[in-house]
Amino acid sequence: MKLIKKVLHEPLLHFLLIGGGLFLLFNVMNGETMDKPNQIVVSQGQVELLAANFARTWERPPSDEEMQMLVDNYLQDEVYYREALALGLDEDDSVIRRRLRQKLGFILEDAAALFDPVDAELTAYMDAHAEQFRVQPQVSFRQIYLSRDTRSDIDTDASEMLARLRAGDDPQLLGDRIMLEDAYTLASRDDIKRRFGEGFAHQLMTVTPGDWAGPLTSGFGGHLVLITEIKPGRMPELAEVKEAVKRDWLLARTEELKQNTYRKLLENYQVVMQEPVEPSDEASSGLSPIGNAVADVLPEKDAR
Amino acid sequence: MKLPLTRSAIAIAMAFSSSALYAVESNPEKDVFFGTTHGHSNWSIDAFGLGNQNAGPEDGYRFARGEAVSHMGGAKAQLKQPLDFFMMTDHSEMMGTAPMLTEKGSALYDTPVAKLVQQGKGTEAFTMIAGAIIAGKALPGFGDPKVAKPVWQKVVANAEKYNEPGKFTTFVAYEWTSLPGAANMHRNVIFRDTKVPELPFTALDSDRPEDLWTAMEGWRKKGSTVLAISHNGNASIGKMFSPLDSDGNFMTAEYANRRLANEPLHEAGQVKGVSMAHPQFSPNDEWANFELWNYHLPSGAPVPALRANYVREGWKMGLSLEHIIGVNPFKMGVEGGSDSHSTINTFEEFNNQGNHALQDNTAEKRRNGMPGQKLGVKGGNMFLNPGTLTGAWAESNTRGAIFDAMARKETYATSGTRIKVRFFAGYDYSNDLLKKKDWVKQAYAGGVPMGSDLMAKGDAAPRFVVSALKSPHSANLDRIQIIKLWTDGVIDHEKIYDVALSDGRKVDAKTGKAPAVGTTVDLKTATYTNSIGDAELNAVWTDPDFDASQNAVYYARVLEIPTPRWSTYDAVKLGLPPSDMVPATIQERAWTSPIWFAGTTNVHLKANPGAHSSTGHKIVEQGK
Repeated sequence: MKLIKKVLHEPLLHFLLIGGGLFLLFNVMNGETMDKPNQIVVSQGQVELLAANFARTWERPPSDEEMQMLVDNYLQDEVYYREALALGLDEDDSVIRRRLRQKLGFILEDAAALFDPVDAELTAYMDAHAEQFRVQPQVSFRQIYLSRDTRSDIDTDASEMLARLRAGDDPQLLGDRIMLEDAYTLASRDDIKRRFGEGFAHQLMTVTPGDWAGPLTSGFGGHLVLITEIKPGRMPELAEVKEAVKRDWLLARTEELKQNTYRKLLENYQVVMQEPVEPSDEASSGLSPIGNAVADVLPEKDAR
Repeated sequence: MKLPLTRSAIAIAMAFSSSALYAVESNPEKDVFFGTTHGHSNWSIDAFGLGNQNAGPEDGYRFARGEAVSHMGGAKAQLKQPLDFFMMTDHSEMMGTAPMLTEKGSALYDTPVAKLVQQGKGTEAFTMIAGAIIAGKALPGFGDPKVAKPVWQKVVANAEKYNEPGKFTTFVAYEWTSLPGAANMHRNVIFRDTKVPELPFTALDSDRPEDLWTAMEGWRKKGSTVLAISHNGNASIGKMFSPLDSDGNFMTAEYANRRLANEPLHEAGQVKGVSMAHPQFSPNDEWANFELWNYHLPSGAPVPALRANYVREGWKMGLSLEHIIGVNPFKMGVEGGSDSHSTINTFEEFNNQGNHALQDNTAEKRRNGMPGQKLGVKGGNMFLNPGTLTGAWAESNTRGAIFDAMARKETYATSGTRIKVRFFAGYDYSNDLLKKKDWVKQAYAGGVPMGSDLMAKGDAAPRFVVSALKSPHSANLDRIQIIKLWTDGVIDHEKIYDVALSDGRKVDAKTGKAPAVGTTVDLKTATYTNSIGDAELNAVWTDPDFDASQNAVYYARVLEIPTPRWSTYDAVKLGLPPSDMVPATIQERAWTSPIWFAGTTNVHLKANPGAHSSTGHKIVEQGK
């Protein structure tokens, strides 16, 4: 019972986690354990904490009357809390159980966040998930828009315009107005897709650089395009995408750590499954038994 | 040995989004970025109750940036087009405690809420949870700040983790879930950066917006930059744009100023309906009847439409209130949200995955309701929609730029499509402005964009410039309308002008109406073609009924040609005819934030020049 009490007083408890092992260190920082069973000490520190919590919410200190209410409320909390513990009400309370599990889960996540992977690990992760981290091709291009709303035959008009462009006409003076840029600099494939749609992005990647070409088609109409620069897609150096790789690596490691820790802890227990009275749905969920546990005691996906 | 573990996690996450290290290109003429300001994961207690038990906030961010994510029942979902920005706005009340609801063989397992969840009666569980919030009481065991604090720190860390300046922007945010007397007074609270309070101010602290503002004002003094966005005026039982404060007293100028300073925007629409206008108050607007949702939020009972539930009415009444108290309290811009409780937010009609977890995650459930659920009552699934989007005109896809766009109201809402629309007003715009390559630069230099005030200049009539480009991924445009609202001091009025029409159509001088654009929708296959409508529409327009003495509100509405409603895509999947309960086709659209014209008789303005300057700058300045 004392243990649970300590766990609920979060600041008093510190978990230190090394690798997959778990050590719980209890750091009793004030004299609370020395309280007599029927004595409730309202320390000055506690009063200040109540006032500070109030001030944090309301952006002003509590009035005397409000302070009295806060202390009364604290006393009620404490009395009910102790009586509830004495009655053993904590033992089968799912909120307390799930809350503790969530806290332990958070601590595991925090512990995982302290992992400092070496570059080789990250590079290996990046290579194993190459598609996710590949640098997209980037294209610089100019475009001239041909509106289907004002032109009856885009293809014919486009051929004429191409001829004029090759003869040296100013592209700025050709084509129809539209709320798009005349030129884009090193736009990624996703960015082109976002602005022009998927079909156009796909067509653009097949255009030979250096010459006006088209018409390409988009959701807007037709476009003559001139590609001025292409940076082909490539696998990046780790340094370029380290943040993203590290984020995903950490996410994977966190899940792994949670699972491993759980399995390790589970090894300390002997799980006795009583014969089912009737078949249960959960037993057939396709999860495989681990160690001496069976599917029914596997953790649900944690509430991260 | 003391390790501040939770904080270290945040510190590491923050190091990840080291925006300062990478310069993101800034475009002074601004670009539009699409995103949403509203979504729930399984950390929201009602989402969990509705059956969303496995998809957490990180899944929401991953989905929004374009990844395929598992949601209800393990099905994978993916956006056709990723969003540019996103935020998780889980309910602050009982935040993160929801997944604690199901623990077999325990005491809570037999509590009423848990039972409802276990039986799949999510709506009823939601009602009970909403009831607790209305009563201002957490369900037993759920209201502990010790629970909330580490969860809130994770909210910050999650947003940090997925923020990629220039590519994908996230915000630290939450929903303040106030339901006084079952009226929806919800606000989403959004922070510009990670200077956030230790704990959110929740509806359990107070359900009065005035108290939320007090909390926000306090946070600003400590360095936070924060704004709030109200939503679902349609479910506010006449309270959202009411002239009364929370105590039922007629509002004062102080109330109005605080509201303006804290709440620059209203969410124009979301999965539970559009709150822009209602045919009852706009009988001559043939497009006002769009994705309406008139139900009592906790019980789902149908309710009559009330004027103060709608944005357009709020804008009108704000003009009248200005005459009385000297300040227009309802000078909010608009933006779009989702409010999906399924972690994922799809927006796309052809890609609707439902928004209420196990209540509507399949086409069958959306069509026929949950077993035992009667359609047409309880806000039946057929009347929901896949959510709306925000377009934000910002210099770059970064937190600072997008937050500032929201603060200065340079935003608009769409019904889920990605129409690009610019809207300006000024005095010196030429007729051929739109033909110039640098027209945007000139428009900014010579006037004001959406969300701004325009002062009278003698008797001169302002010119409005509006330009709309279709989404490259969806339908052509039918028309652009400018909607004018004004008051003569006693009665308020509205008038709708078709300022640009596709396919060379003209307004009939006699009837004042334009011919309908027609339709290409094939209901049997749920398809359409872009053989009608235009890719782009533009206008430089002057109000033919202009009166320089009157205060007026002008905003633009852009309509697409008809396309299948999500329920029609579902019908085809199910091999059924379109439902006769809802329209088979819709005209998707964009609504801009308005431009407020301050007439020559605006006494208050004369006395306080500059009093109407954008509240957005104040929000940003105060936080610095």
